[in-house]
Amino acid sequence: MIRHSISEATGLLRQRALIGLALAAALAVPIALGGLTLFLGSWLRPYVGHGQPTVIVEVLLRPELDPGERSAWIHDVAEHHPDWKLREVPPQDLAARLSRWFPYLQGLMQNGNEELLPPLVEVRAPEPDQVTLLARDPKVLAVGPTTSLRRAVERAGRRIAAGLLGLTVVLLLASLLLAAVWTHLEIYRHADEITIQRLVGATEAAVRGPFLAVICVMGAVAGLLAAGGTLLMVHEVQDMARTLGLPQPRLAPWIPVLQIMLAVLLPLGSAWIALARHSELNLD
Amino acid sequence: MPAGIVIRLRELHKAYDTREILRGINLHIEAGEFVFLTGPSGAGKSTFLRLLYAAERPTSGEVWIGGRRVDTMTRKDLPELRRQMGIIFQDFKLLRRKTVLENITFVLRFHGLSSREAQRRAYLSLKRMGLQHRQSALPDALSGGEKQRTAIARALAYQPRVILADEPTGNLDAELAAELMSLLCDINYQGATVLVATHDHSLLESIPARTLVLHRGAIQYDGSWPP
Repeated sequence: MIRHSISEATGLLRQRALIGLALAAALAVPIALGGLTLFLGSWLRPYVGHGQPTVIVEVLLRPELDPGERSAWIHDVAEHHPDWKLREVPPQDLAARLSRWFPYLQGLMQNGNEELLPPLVEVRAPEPDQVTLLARDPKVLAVGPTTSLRRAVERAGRRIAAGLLGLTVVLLLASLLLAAVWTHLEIYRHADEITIQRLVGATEAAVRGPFLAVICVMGAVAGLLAAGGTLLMVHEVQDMARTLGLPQPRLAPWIPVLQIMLAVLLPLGSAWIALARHSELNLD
Repeated sequence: MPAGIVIRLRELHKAYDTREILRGINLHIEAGEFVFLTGPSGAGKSTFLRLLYAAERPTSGEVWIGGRRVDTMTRKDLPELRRQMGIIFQDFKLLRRKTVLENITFVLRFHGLSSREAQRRAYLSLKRMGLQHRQSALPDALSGGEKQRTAIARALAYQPRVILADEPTGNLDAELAAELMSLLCDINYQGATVLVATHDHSLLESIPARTLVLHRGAIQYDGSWPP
């Protein structure tokens, strides 16, 4: 039966090589984008905060506030925002933290002048934009930092990953629909042959086998194209990361494997459903 | 069902919308019988045969083949039923992308034969029909008679126990028609049940056999020919 399917599938592929290749390419695009999304997701996870659900925002308080007033302020804010975690930065860490705010004053701050530095409160919050509203409080000097490269990468990463994911889902659905429509069209193109095969005693497996074998071949080609496309895009992202001085991203080896598996299994499932629905029709 | 009965029909009705094709047919055919089914065009001969090989379902009634009820059979069980029959179709039903030899080996492979054995049997069957020299031709390159003989060679290649033939001599000249009937008689003599649908009265006279006359969807006559 397998030999019969392969032999029939070879005939089908010979007849429709170009269309088959076009279909494989159409399927490869969303799967390649899906692979890229997974790669970017794993690379940007520390930035986009999937691993840490909260973002740290620093709040600079007025220097004239004494420790009691600072504690009262922290207590008051924590009471109003139970999902926030507030902590006053210890004096020994102040210089390092504030040097992010004022990089040019780093030398001055680390030169034994810690008692002159304004108090800093660290706020861990799921919505950093809410924390920036504290800037209106008269006891607060400033809230930030808000414009670091990390924040920019975080925002861009979120948008790119969400956009790619959405695009991947839409294109994948379109490709699966394409595979199902192609299978339907091929079945109707060979309707006479299928009818004859059934009339002379061919089993459903014998009738469906060649179509499924063709879909498997096209899926494998699509998977290889997708994995190749993802590798090329990963190479570009790695170049970009190197230029920006960001940590070097790596493609997890399971991503291309998953791509090839999905490229074979998804259209196979789609074709299976199309063939099962077709066998319900009385073509005899 | 008695052991000797191969085909049994009970109160068989078939209608397309309001048009009734077969009306309450009751019939049984014994194993090893040679039966002609005749009647004017549109009498329902082809529909009758299509119901036997389950290409259609009856509107009501029962169809039994070899002790198995066909009209309620699931799609999954149909291939096995059809593999027990040799069906000679009026419109040949040859696979256009396959050569004459492949058309036959294709079917034999479903019977579990190896590729080599299927080719050997297919060649013998073609030889019996005098078509061995056309084994590599595609059906579109064949004449009507050659297509008919290929269809017959395919139906007989696996020595089925039941042969259903729908106008098998329609495209054959008198000499080939006589040869085919002789071949069907041989196969019948070896024990196969043969049911031939034809409107050709000369064919009915060529072999003394049970004849069913179908008229307006009912069996009008059941006996030897001529009535």
